[in-house]
Amino acid sequence: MRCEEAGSTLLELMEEELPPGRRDEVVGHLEVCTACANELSAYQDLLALVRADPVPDPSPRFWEEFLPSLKHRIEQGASEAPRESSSWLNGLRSWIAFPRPLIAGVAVAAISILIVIRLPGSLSIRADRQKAPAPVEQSAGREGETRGWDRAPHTEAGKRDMGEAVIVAGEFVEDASALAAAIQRLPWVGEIADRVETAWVWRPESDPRDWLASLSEEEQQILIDRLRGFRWSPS
Amino acid sequence: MREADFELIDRFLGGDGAAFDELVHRRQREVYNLAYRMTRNAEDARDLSQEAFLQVYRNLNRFDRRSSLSTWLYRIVMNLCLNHLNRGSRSRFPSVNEQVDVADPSEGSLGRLEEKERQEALARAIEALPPQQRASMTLRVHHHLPHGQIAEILGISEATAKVHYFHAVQALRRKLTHWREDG
Repeated sequence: MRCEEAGSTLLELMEEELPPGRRDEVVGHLEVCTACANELSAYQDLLALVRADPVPDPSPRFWEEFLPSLKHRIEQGASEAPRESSSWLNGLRSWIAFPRPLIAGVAVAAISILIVIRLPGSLSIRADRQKAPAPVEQSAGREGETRGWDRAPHTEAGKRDMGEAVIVAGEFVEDASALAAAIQRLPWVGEIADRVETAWVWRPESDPRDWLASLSEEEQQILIDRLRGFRWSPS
Repeated sequence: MREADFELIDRFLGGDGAAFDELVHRRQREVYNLAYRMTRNAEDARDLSQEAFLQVYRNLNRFDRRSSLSTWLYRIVMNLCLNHLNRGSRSRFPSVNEQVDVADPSEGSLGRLEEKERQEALARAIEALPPQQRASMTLRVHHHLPHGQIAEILGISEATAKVHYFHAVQALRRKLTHWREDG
């Protein structure tokens, strides 16, 4: 076994992820190769260092105030809930009340906004609803609870494309198959899938508010309301 | 633990408000620690951990118990943290409410100073990791979760969770090579 080959499996060895035969090969190599044994030792030291990285302990007062403060927020939320609900419903009503042809127009505009920037390199995904993996049912629907494209098949293409996180509908996506699944979850896609074939991606650092400027105020509000449903908020 | 958690949930759903208090008391430190490790900012960690419990309070009746409470809770915390990091977190600064272990110059210990520098270099390297890599590494190294559960929490495949973890460790190794060589 060459050092390069052994080096690429050291973390898997530490995680006990190697099949027995492969493990024996790597261990055999480490017994005769000081450089690779040192590299393994360096990884072990590094992880020990990471494990020892402390979380500064908040003061006892912090913990005394934690639950009361949380309860205060819960009570506040309860008193504000009707207003929030009303605002949400108004947004929904305005979306529903919007003339149907305009809905499609705004949807296309929204998609176009999201289309504008595509990932560099080979991550160009077609919104192929036949091929996209089915999203898993979420256990709950509120913000922050679940991530919706669970267990997307891991493809070779996905492996190649990993490394740059992108956001689709406010959610992190780091491989191609997951991206396809995420796109599939966009409610717009059902309405306009026949007209648009490209993936809708924006960079994490970009701000969709800039792109909203080209829409009318009413259109902006509608789009914002829609995006809010996808866990993105302009606030 | 799982049964004890479900018992607490049953009590809460049955109208026992004290059950929620108990749940918070049991979990507040691990939730805060997780949020801190993701944000590396005490104020952000406090806000996000409170927001996480707020969501737990509002949605506990919808928790379907197919996963453990820990998985569900961690998923909430992680989603909040990832959204927060995506929006751009505030710069790191020590809080007045935070007990920071600062090296005492009067001790004049070079070793202690080096240790401090090493911790800061590690903190910077971790902060530079992409959020998903940081998440995978934190859940693996500090919370000792298997890759399958990490995948469930992050909503990704197990293979992807492993790759994130490996990339994170390799990135730290590249950035911190000199420590070991200097040492």
